[in-house]
Amino acid sequence: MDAAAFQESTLDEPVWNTIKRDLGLIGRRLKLVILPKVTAMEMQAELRDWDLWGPLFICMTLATVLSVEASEDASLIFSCLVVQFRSLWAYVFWDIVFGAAVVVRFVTVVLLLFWSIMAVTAFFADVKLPEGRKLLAVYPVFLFYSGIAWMVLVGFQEHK
Amino acid sequence: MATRKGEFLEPDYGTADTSQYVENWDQPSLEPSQTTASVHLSYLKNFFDLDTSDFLCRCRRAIFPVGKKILDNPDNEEADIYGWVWIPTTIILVLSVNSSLYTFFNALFHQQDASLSRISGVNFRKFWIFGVLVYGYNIVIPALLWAALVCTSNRQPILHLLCIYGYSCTSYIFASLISIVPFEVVYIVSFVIASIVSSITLFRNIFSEEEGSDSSRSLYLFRIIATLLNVAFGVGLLMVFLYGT
Repeated sequence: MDAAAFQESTLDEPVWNTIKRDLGLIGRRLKLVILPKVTAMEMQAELRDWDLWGPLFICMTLATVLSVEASEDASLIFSCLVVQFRSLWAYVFWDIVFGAAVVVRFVTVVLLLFWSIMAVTAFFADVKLPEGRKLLAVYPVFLFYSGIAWMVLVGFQEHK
Repeated sequence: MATRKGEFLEPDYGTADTSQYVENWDQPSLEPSQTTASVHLSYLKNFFDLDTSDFLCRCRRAIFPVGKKILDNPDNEEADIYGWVWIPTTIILVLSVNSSLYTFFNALFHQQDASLSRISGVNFRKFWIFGVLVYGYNIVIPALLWAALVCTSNRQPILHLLCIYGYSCTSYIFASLISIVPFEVVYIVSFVIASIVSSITLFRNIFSEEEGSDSSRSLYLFRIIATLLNVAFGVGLLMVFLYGT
């Protein structure tokens, strides 16, 4: 009965309240990614209550920023990155998006790449990995984010 | 069942017991006999069952093919496909990055005139060619080899073949990292060495000793063929890196 009542109340609420709530959710998750200093229980609760708004906005922003600078491969870059929005971990793209727009790209992108990986490592605390396998689990994430960082880094040289 | 207005109706799953797929998704992997879905996620965990130390040990033995074999480890003798998935992926990424990173550093540190520095940015064509070559080689050749072995009554476990093919590519990762050096001679030599090391690794480890005799003439012939194909793969990688547009 409580679930039905809750659902009924969100269905009838003003649209602005819904948008405000989702924006607050995105902001809270971004804060979590920037400074993942929360308890394991809070992290677990956030990961259980996943959403796709943040990954959608972040990946669309990254794809748009890169596509504005690229020319021939714009559609390919755009489609590759839009596909990635289906992941909670895409929240950590925020820092690579930021790195796409600053001058000293290389150092910034590398630093923010490692920050992303540290944020994802914090998420792994919920997964309860067996001892001695954390590096194996983190490595594919490192590979994936390195590919994205490389696209951000090199993709801007074409207009020079 | 009566429902209130606006109440969402859940689909009727009948009497099937789906609790083990919903509530236990993060539990240790199920035995294959306990599930009817062979593509269930926890079934796949069986093929990635190794520690970081096991993985690094196997990579080390793949790079230094003298001494113990890749899977000759009393702590963990089971073949895995973690290496088969991520080592070729690493090679593709490193080769694609290095083919454009060299020009990036060249422009960054030498401040060339805009009209002279025509950097292509992200070279997706080379990326796709590397992807097709590396994944194609590591999927098609082991599959063909396994099929040929089955036809000649020399059955080998497909998992073992995939595992060894994956780890035998480890030396190409180092050659790929060296390819950022802007001297052709350096990375040609590194690719040749990587190809030799990889071929020796494949020759020594390709067949599981549990299945049949290791000294059968047809098995020896398959070893030679697999090794020659590996050499050709190394040459192909180098050609694409040098001349792929």
